[in-house]
Amino acid sequence: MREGKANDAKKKQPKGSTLAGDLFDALNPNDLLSNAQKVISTAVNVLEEEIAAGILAAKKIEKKVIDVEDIRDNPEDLMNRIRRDTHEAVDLFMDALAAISKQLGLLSGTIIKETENANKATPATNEKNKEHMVAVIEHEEPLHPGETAVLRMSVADDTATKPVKIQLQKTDFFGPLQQKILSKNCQIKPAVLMLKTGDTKEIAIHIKLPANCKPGHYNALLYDPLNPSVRTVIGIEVV
Amino acid sequence: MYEALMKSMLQQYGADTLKGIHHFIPDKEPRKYLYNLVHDYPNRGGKGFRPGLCIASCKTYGGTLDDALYSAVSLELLHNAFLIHDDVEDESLSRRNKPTMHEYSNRAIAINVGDAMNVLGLYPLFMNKEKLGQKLSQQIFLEIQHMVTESVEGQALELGWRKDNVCDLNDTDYLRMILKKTCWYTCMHPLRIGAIIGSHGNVKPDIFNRLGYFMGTAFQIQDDILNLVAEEKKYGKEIGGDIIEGKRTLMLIHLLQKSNPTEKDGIMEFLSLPIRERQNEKAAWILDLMQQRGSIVHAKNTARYMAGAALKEYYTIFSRLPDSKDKSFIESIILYMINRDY
Repeated sequence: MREGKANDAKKKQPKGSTLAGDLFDALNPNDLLSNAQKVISTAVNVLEEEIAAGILAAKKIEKKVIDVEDIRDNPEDLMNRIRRDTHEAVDLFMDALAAISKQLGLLSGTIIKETENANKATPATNEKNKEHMVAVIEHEEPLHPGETAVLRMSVADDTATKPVKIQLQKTDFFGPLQQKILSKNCQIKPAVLMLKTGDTKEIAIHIKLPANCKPGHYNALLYDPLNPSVRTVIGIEVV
Repeated sequence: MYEALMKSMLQQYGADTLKGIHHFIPDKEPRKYLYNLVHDYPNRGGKGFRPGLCIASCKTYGGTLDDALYSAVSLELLHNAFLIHDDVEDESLSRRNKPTMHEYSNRAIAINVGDAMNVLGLYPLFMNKEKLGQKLSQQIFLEIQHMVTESVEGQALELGWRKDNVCDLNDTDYLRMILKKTCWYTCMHPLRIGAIIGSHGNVKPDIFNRLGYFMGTAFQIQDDILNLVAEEKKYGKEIGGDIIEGKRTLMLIHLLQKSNPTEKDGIMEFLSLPIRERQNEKAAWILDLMQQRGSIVHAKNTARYMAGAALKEYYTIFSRLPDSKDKSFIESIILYMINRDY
């Protein structure tokens, strides 16, 4: 029966059809897709079953090899583990705190930001507390070492009565465990601009990650030293 | 990527790994009955899929060849140890166009050389500590431990089926056996290990399971098809050898399901004989039946479905990564696995 169908399909083919097309038609597309689905679905089930069986077996071995009750009954060992875990937790907390303090100590200014396409910024402005707010602009997707990214934001001034000159400067990106991405890897375009009352101007932040950049969350500060109300945090995640 | 470029990369990564293997083989006695023989199978020049996938995966995730080299050396040493033992277990006559080790030496020597290679494969994993640090080295060690465990379990399944002349198998049994015997160590773990190294442990290796499984299955089915229909010189093993060995290939399982009772009895009788007593004429008859019953077409289609599913997984995982030669290399190798003729 299948051979008959294949021959029929072959007869109906227009001139100039491709070899791949001929092959696909000859295999009978509907049967092919349904067979492929069956085979792949069987394979996926087998894989999931085997992985689950492997995890179960590993847990059984762990239970036999590591006597959990014994560990719990040994107060000294338990205390050592608590000390070790607490140390790690405190280290992590201190790293995070140090990074945040570094950024916050330098913050000033208000920048309204927006994103373009995939590079969406997260607005964090609050009209009531604008002067005390720190804007945060983050790259939506995690980045890889060696990759480049462009973040865009808009700067507006609705308070000044005369044109304001803004000269943007940036710090290094600070990451986990004292890791840094030097500020030379970040270009601000334009870094200097004149802003009239009611004006909105766009700024592009070009980031080129070093090839040896370590994974983690990194933050840098964008600010104007002569204009304390201009301040924003640039956040990226490296994977 | 052009096939020629992919092959040249495969060759280059294979050569780098071979150089590494030679560094890890002791230059001392007993040479004649051990260490000279340890060089033999790696020097015969295999396809180099495992080190190739490991190194390319590492580089795609930002690592270097040097970062992945010790792991690639370990994979290849363990692979060659498997081959020596596999040839003994299957009573194979030739490997890569030369007599198998137990044929030109003897079974005892060959088994011992295989044992030595398994042990030699451990030292590069220990040395990983110097390059990658303790945490990553331990993670890779566990990857290898899992890989070897799965492979011996898969081999046990197939050897058991042959020992008890099990003939009521289906495609699911085959897919399970091949997952354990081939896929983990040919594709899944090489990809996982490379990505772990390249990403400094930041990639979840489980994302490669389906890709590696589909790739590995396509590879093994194609290998089994070539064993029946390839040009012997290119393929490097005796054609039809799998039928003589009673290997439970997808084609044999399909044939046992599709043959009539008389034919099935004939096949089962052939499979119940000791390997050395199986006649070539009867093997040719089985091959002919496989053609008639569509078993080879069934296997070819299954390999294509698997390669298609592997490509889909590849695009899901790798499309977010920057383009590179190594990324394209992994894509090309999926297609090559079903298009190759050796």
